[in-house]
This record gives sequence, structure tokens and C-alpha cells, in this order.
Amino acid sequence: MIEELQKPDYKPIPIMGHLVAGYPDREGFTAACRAMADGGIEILELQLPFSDPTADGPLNTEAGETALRNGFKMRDLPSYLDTVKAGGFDEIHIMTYANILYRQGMKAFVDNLDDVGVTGIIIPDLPLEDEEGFYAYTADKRIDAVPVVIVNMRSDRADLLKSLPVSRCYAALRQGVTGTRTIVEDKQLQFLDSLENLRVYAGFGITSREQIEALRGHAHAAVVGSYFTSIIREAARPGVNDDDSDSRTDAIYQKVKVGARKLSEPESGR
Amino acid sequence: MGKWFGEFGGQYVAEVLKPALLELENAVSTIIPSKSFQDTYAAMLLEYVGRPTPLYFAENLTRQLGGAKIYIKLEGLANTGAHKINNALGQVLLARTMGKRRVIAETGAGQHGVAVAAAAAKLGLSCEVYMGEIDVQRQQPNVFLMRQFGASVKPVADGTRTLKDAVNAALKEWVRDPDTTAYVLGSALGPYPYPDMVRGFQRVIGDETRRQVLDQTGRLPSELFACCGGGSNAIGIFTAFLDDPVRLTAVEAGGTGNAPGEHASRMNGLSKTGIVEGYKSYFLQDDDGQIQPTHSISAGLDYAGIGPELAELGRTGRVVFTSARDGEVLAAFQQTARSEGILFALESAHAAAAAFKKVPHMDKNDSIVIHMSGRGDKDLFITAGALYTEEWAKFLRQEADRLERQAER
Repeated sequence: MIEELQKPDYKPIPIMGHLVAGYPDREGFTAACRAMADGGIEILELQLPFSDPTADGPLNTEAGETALRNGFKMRDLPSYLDTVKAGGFDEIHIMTYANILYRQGMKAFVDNLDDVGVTGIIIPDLPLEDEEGFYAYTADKRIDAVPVVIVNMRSDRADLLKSLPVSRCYAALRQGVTGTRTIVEDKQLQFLDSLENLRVYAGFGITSREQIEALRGHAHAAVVGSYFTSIIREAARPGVNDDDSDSRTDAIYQKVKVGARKLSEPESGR
Repeated sequence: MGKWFGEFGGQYVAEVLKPALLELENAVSTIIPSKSFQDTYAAMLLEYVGRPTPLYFAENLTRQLGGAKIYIKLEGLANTGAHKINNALGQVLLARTMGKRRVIAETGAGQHGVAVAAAAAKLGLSCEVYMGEIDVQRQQPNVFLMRQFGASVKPVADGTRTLKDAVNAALKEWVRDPDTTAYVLGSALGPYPYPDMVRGFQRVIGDETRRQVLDQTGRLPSELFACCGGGSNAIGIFTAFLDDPVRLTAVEAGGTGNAPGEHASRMNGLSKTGIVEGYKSYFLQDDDGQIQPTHSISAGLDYAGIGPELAELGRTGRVVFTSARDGEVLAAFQQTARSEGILFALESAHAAAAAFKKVPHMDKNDSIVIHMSGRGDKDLFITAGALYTEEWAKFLRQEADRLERQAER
């Protein structure tokens, strides 16, 4: 493993980092976003908060609640996208729940994001049955619908995925919700390998370089979610730098950058 | 019938939940129709639940209001005090037949939790009930009852710490361990097959009522009144009458006003179609699609969504929706107690409140049925606190002091 890492043509697997819009607040979000970019994260998954997030673990649930309590509105989205782009991210995916998309109108939601150059949309509670015509509608757009699948899904479910007009998918490495640790084993890797012709983003419980290395050659990117939420939560904790927003923002930046480097740089974190 | 009710219903869940729901779909279509399941279930409804529950002619109320004859379906006499037991028993029996060892459930006011805990105790399964922290605090009597039935009550600290957060927590727990665990959902909502299955277990209320009213009066009633939160009691009594010339009125929680957070009326133009907690229906939500807080004096109606079948029946006009304010509900609660010696649950008192407004304007030859889906003992801390605030506060302080002194000894 070590020898392999030291090969001159070593190319690390890209990481998709996850941030909740409006968390821990507007300035903290900007700092975390910049820190991720500076820490070697290449792709950004921007989650739009929803009041009833059925697929989030406790950390991201709390992050979404905090963002909503702080007044996050959908009309703020363009400004968050500007922040993400200013951080240097070219590949951006929007993750949210079906009701947010449905309220705006599925087509309007897709078209608006397509217009501003978002790469993909991840809606975990829109099933592969395509009940809102979401996968079909995005088929001939630049923007991609990114269905969420799980390792070792039943073969009829896997066939359903293959029948969809999609070119990417988000593969959850195990059952359960976000925010707890996953061990990457052969059965997961075999499943990822079976997702031919799809650009695969693999995640759920990724918190170490070791897990990310294990995905190399099996996924196109590793998704890292609540790991960052946890770091931001710790840095923004009430009682820490409460009365000094500059040093609070700075703490978020430093801690997220260190956390990002631990995952993106092979030599550190060992 | 089935997965869709017009455009409402569906199965909008993450792929992680699909295997468990597909297994349940299969069990619903193979196990429930079987003779052995139906025989066991029917015997338990008779001997354990206490069915049929009476249809009672409320002679005094009829005389006082001077209009249509008032009949009350006394579903609150069912074991555990409400209609919830019909569904809880059916789903827990199904879980046991599927070979599950454990049932989990969400509860708001605690009525569904109590029913599931009792059914699990009877059928020998372990039981965990997820309940928002705020509900745990304000519904201690039901928390106590669930524990007496051997259930473990899990307080949920996420979100608004009420019913919807309990639903989310229970779903997540189900995803964690779907092989040994069944999720027993308490109302006719959520992803398919729940709305279909829950209506199936609750329609016994209407089937009985229809027989009873024909026996007692020789004809169909002109109108039925049922309260409506998620709507399992309403769809339960309405189903048998859907093809009859009977007006079906569902009464929502009018709360204290029409502003967001003051009520739980989804069907009066204040809500919009949405996709939440696995199904498409009407939800109280803001322009972004964020679910709004709700209020009702009755914890059981305090919910932002409505079952998909009732949403469709409301859209087509087959079911007419109205609402009752908290104050009207308390007045109806007192009137039924004083006139008939019957204690309505605050949820069911919504149905009574709407009926009492209408009855005086109806013909004396007409008859109506009010669904008393639950009885009101459980609301003691709310009703006593609202009606006798000072006396009740004094009593509670005295009791607290007495317990503290006892503990010191």
C-alpha cells in the first residue's frame, strides 16, 4: 500500500465534500467552503435544508435545523452557489428532499440549476420508479439527476437503475443513515464494480484516508458528508469564540482545512 | 385503492427503505387475506378489543339540540381507550406472522404508542416507541402506560421534538434493522402500503356502524362526523359509506386562529400539495416547502399532513372538511359529559363540536352519527388544566410536595 502511494503517477481519488447551505451560519459556510477547496476537496455537494429530512443522520439533521432557524430561504441559493464557485469548485451537486423540488415545480427546479451550471441533483426520496418524471426530464439536459442506490440492492432494483436514463449515481455503502462509520469491504467494492457505465460517487460513513483509498479504482469519487459537519459543529460550538466572529470563522476555516487535508493527502493522517 | 389515491399517496422513500417496504407489501397481500390471519384477528377483536363497540342513541343531546337524532359510535370503549387498537393489533399480529421479534412505533399524543405497546404485550413481541421529547414531557400519563405494558419509550431530541420527528426517528431505526423489526405506523398515511393497510384494519368501525344504524333506525344516517388528524378514525368510519347517499364530514383542528402555527387545518385552502415522509398529500408548509408548526388543544390532531386517501376524497368533495376551534371543542367535551355521561377524547370532541352546530338546523326525521374515536380520561391533565386552572395547579403542587416528602422519609 505504502509503495503504491509513492508511485510518481499516483492520482488520488477525488473527494466530494458535503456542506449544508446556511450552516453554521452565512460566514461560517463561506469559511468552510473555502477551507475545503484549500484542503484539496475537488467536488462540492451542497445540501439545501429541509424541515423533515428522512435520510439524514443526527448531525446533518441538526445542521439543517440550525440553517433554517438562522433563516435560510431558497431565494438565498444563488448567493450560496456564488460562494461555492468562488471557492474554486467546478463540479457542484445539489442535494435536497423531494418536497423542496416539488414546491418549486420539478421542471423549474431542474432548469434553474441547469442554467447556473450545477452538475447534478441528488434527491434521496425520489425513488427509482421515477414517480415525478425527474430522471426522464433530466435525460436531455446538461444537468444530471443522480439517483441514490445502496450496496447489494435486490437484482430487480439494480435492473431498474440500469433502465434509467442517467449517467451518474450516488452509492450508499451500507444501509442506515448518514453519520456513522462504514468499513469498506469486498462486497461493497463488487457492487460498485457492477455499476457499469455510471459515474459513481460512493459514500456513507467515510471518515478516513484508508476508506477512501479502498474505493480507488471502484468509484469515481468518495463522498464525505457528516465528517465535515462534525468538524464545523465542533469549531462553531457555542462558548467557543462566541463574541469574536472573526476568530470563530477563522477556527472553522483552519479546522475544516486540516480535516480536508487528512483525507485528501496520502502522507498526512498516518 | 392501492398505491395511489388520485395523484396522492405513492412510495417516496430513499432506496434504503425500499427492501423493507417491498417485504411488507408482499406480507400485506399474502398474509392478511389468509383465513388463519383473519380468524385470529377477528377473535382478538371480539375478545380482547371488545368489538363490536356500541352505537348509542344520545336521547338527551337530541332533545336539547332539537334537530336530527344523534347517534354516537362509542369507539372509545375499545380496550386501551381509542380506535388505535384495531390497527395496532392488526399490524403487530402481521409482524409476528412475518417472524419479526420486535415492533417499533412512533407516537404523538401517545395513544397509538399505548395501543402498540398493549398489542405487543399480548402477542409477545418486544416494543420500542419513539416519541418527541416535548410530547414525552406533556403526555406523561401515556408514557407511564406504555412502560406498564413493557414497552421502552425512546425520547426523540431532533427537530421540533414532536410527532413528525418521532416518525423520522422510527423510520431510521427501521432502516437500521429491518430483518428482525417491523414498523407499526399509527395512521392511514406514510408510504404505500401503510395507508392501504391501516384503512383495511380500521374500516371495521364503519362496517359495524352501518349495520348498527340500519338495525336501530331502519335507514342510513344523513351525515357522519369524524375528527381528522392523519385521519385513520375518519377513513375507518367513512369507508363503508363511500357509495351511500350519506354526507361525510371530517373535522380538523381549528386551534386558536388561521395563522401558521395556530391550527392544523390542511383542507381549508391553507395547505399545499407536497411530498413528505414518504407520501404525496396536502401539507401545511411555507413557500419554500418547509413544513410549518401546528397547534391543537388535542395532541392527536396536531399534525401538518393528512392521509392521502382523505386528501383525494376532500379534493373530489366526497368528504366535506370543516374545523372546530379549541374553545368550541372544550364546550362540546363538557356538553357530552353533562348531557350523556360520556367523556369524549378532545380529538373526538372536534366531531361533536361540528355536529352540534349543524344538528339544530336539520330535520327531526334525519339521524346523524358522531364518531367518538376515543374517550377522554387520557386528557385529564389538559382538560382539568384548561377548565379549572387554579384548582388543578394547586392540586399538582400538593401532589408534588407530597411525593417529595414521601421520598425524604
